[in-house]
Amino acid sequence: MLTSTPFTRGSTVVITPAETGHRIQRLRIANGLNQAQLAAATMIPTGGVSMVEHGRQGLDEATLERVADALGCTANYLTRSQGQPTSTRPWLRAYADASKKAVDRYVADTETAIEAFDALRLRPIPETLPYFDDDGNDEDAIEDFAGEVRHAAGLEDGDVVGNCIRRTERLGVLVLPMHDELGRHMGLSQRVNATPVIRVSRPHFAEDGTVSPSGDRQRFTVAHELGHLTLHATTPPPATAEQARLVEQQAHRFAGAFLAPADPLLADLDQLGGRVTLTTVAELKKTWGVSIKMLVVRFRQLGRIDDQHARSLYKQISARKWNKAEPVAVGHEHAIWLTKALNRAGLDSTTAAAALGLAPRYLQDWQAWDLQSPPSADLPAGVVPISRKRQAAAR
Amino acid sequence: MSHLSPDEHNRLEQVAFGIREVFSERGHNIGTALDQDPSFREGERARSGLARSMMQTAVALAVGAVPELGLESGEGGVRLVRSLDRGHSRRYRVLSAKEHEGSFRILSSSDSILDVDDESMFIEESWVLAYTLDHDNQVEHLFVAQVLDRLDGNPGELVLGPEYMLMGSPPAGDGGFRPTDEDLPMDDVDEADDAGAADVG
Repeated sequence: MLTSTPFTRGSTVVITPAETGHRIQRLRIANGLNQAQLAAATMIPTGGVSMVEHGRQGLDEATLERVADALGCTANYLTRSQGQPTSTRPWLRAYADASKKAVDRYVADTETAIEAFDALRLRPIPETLPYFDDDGNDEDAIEDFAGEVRHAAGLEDGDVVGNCIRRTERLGVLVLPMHDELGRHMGLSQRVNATPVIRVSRPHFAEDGTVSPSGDRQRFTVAHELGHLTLHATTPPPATAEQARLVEQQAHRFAGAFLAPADPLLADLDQLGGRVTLTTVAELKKTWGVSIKMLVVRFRQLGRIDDQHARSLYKQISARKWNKAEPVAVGHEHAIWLTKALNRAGLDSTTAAAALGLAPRYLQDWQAWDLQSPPSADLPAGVVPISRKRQAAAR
Repeated sequence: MSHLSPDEHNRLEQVAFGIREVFSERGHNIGTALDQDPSFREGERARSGLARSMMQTAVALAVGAVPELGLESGEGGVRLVRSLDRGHSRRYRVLSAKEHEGSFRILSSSDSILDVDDESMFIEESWVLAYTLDHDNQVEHLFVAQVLDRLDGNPGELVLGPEYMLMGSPPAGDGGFRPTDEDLPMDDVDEADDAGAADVG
């Protein structure tokens, strides 16, 4: 039941309601629950959750336990003082039309993750991200800068990015999976407590039976978000749609130059005869692990083809129905830092979760990259993952 | 009437691949050329003329990559692809076709395509290497068929044997892109500072 006093354990004051309210709110959002759903799951009166989250009401011990159960944590987790995480506004692929609820969910989940890793004192890879201090509208400057980031990631000039997520982790960026796409947006990046983080969709079966996102799309998304973290580290959020389009364009340019640098890519094209046709770009996809459409864009950027030629290639791609499924499979990637860091600390998901007061599913989900991984089984009763709700709605 | 051997079909598939490559790279130039003046868009004559020129070039390039095939010029500078397939000496004439009620039609104002060398030591045959284009000036269909006869008319129409469709698929290559399994420099961090599981209670 609700109380008008601070949170109590017996008669001992543990923490201010505002701090616990914030932690409840963050985990509620991370779990994709609205206030009414949490109220129903915990027998709190309608409207009571808002009061609690804003620190205007405390909870008695029994109600706090029910809230903790519903959110997959211990009561102690909710009443522990950890300080508020400092998060930057997330950058997204296709910024303007992402659902706020979906974005908020992943921001809350990311804050939860970073706080957990800090609490476990997992050793991060030291951050070595270069920062862009040139003109974002200068495409040549972005090309050069992408080369600088490649070098920082340990790549030589002509090297193929064999594993984009791994190279990104080497730069000190935390890469975590997303378990449903943000609509058609598959990537998100931000800094939480100064740690650079990229969220990217793990592969899943789409309703049409294809695997989404494709491996090449996943790689491009990671490179795109890396572009935001480096190019736009000091850029304020876009105020207009035009500004949003520009920053997206800059991140795209960066991703192209990072994954398929101009000189070695053009040298490979020349080795194949120099013709920009669907056959040659499909061959180049095998080498560089980027999509055929992206390569067409890249050759247009590099002046190797003109607009008419690019349009013709897009039409051919569309006529062959490659917009939905391109030929030449690109394998999916996964991050390894978290699993390795837990191992080094002598922990696994269960022991780490127990130390934190979180359900093991949190730790498991932050490491779940496989297509076949079953959904986490220990969701509280009545809580349905968003992805399953979407599927039901679509049916 | 003869049939293509698997080897001949494979050779023609290579030619089809080469033709499709040229149109994939340059077919859009037909549209660009037609856009130079509104009169070029009146009727099909300019478009088909440009397409024929590009097809002649494409055939020459494609046949050049298949050593078993030869190229010669026929009446009016038309390209002819020559081949010898199990005792059949074939002459493929490059012509445009139209789709009509589920089949292909090739109009011809002359019987000359049926002329063959009667004194040859091989069985001489006249075939067509025919194409249709889509709205984007890309090759839509490519096929070969033996010319069996010509129906009189103005213009007349060729009577064709079975059509062998040529997909022009790229040479089968293996695999795709497999990400590398790279490690992380976890050991570079100072072990002494590595506190491991922390007291989070």
